[in-house]
Amino acid sequence: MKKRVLWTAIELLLALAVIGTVSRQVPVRESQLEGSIMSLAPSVTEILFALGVQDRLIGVSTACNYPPAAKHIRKVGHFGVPDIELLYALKPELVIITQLRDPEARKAIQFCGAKLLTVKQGDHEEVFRGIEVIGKAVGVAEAARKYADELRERFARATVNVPDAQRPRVYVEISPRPLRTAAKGSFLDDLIYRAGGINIAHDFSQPWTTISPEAVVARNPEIIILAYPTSRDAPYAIAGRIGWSGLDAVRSGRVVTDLNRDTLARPGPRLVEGLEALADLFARYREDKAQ
Amino acid sequence: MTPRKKLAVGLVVLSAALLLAFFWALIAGRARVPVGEMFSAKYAPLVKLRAARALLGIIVGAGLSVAGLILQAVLRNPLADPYVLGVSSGAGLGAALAILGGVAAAGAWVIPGCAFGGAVLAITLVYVLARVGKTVPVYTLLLAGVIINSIASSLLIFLAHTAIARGQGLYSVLWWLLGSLQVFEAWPVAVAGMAIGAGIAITILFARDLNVLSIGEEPAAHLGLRVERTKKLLFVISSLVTGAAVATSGLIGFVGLIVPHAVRLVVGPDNKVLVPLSALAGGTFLIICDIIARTILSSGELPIGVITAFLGGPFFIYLLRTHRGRMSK
Repeated sequence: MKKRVLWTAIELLLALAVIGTVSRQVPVRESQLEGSIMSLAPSVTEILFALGVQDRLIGVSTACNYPPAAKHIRKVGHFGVPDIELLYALKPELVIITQLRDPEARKAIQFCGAKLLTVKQGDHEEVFRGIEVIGKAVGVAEAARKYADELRERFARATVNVPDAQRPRVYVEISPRPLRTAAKGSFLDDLIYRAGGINIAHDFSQPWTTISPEAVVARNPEIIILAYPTSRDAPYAIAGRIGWSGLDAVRSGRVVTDLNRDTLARPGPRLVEGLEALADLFARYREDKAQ
Repeated sequence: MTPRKKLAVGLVVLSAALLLAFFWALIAGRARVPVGEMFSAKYAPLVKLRAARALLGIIVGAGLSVAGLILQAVLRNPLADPYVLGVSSGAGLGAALAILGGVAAAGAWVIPGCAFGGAVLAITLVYVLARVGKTVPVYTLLLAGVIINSIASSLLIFLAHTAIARGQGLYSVLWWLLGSLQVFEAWPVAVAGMAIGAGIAITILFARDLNVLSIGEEPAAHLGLRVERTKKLLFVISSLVTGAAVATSGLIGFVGLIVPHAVRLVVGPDNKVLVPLSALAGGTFLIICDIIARTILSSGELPIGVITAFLGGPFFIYLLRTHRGRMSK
């Protein structure tokens, strides 16, 4: 009996291995397809689509969800984690990343014969410059430069210059458990200020940080932005948190749940949209205040 | 069957299984490699990479199985696995320090080196803590292991928590902790192979002493075994073997627990037979688990520890339920 269980376990093991072996094998390409690109970061995928070179994109990461057409491109790994077997089989000419989970994977990408481009995207200017760098690498330098300049201009136009006294105090909640928010040095903090708000956690020491519920209460935000998928009654849940019902944001009904998280936190071209959406939100706040 | 005959049959059967699994691992993978063209220029690089990975699987699987077997015999506790004495969390802490401290960039050897250092430090601490006079009683050893494990894990969580802001580093630590047989160079396979191979060879020489020890320390002493010295030596070997395995492939659970039990179920409790056969079975088991980990998702891999636990967990629960009487003796 005991041995039978052992054999069953071994059979299960072998069956799984056989299934894995015979299913979904990809033929190895003879040589590189000219101009073929793989992207292992959602922001890079968005940039490649914006530059109009999506037809040359032969692989993306599982995190690449925008534009919707990106979902139909073959997945060749997770965000920052290339699938070496697929890279070897599909032989891209160029692999573009923003980070690697395992630094050793750099060798694997080179092992597959691909050129590797690492794009730094620490702030908005780096994002725009990254667009130019990517454009140059994929042979559309001129169009990329134009596009980046266009984004820079839109970004500058959406940037609001108002005295601090008129800026709403803003709390952006990135996750509810534990409470996490963005502080100085993060993308989001910068976007909030440019859009005409003041981040209540600006002075925290780490760019992506936890925050205590007391700190939120003490700093009494006038606008609360929930930057994660929520249900419709999330604002009530916020109001129901102990001690939070008296917050200015809760009393005036300014708990915002409909901002697209990816436009706020993803260092892609849509961060301009994120800035514009924030600026709209804060402008409405100022109008309400003025009345 | 006499133990000798059992060993001979087992060696033939399991060596064949190991060879088959190794060959299988060369063919299996997301990229299709036709058997006839395996060594052509088009496929050879990929096949080499798979071979290195399968070799590491054999080495790590064999090492963890033998290390688990040693601890089960020395601690006389069927639940003992290679990680029970704190080796794993020590190694994890070492690796995390290397990654988050930013020294990992100095070379590919830094993370395995720090992991191994952490493992050695942890077991030294456990040993010192567990010592009572000149002896190292089994129960204090286990308790010290549990304590060092939890202290090291809490330090690891502290490091992870303060590193969340830096994102990238934490990501790498998690990746490392989940365990993977991915290698890109030959030297980690060679180093781990030599260290673990030596450990297994010495264990085979001491298999008789393991038999004597597993009947109890007092009877073992009456039979003329220098109990403390043998225990110390076997303890050091299992720790170094585990340290080498963890340093090259991260934490891969359950192998060291279930493989010795499974082999024991078939060939009985004689360690002279068990040690070599567990090594072969562990290597085969891990190669096949790795084939599954590499191929079962449509892209990317599953951490191999998920596979070993998924298959090993239920099997072990079953053993525990049916074996209770014999296991608690």
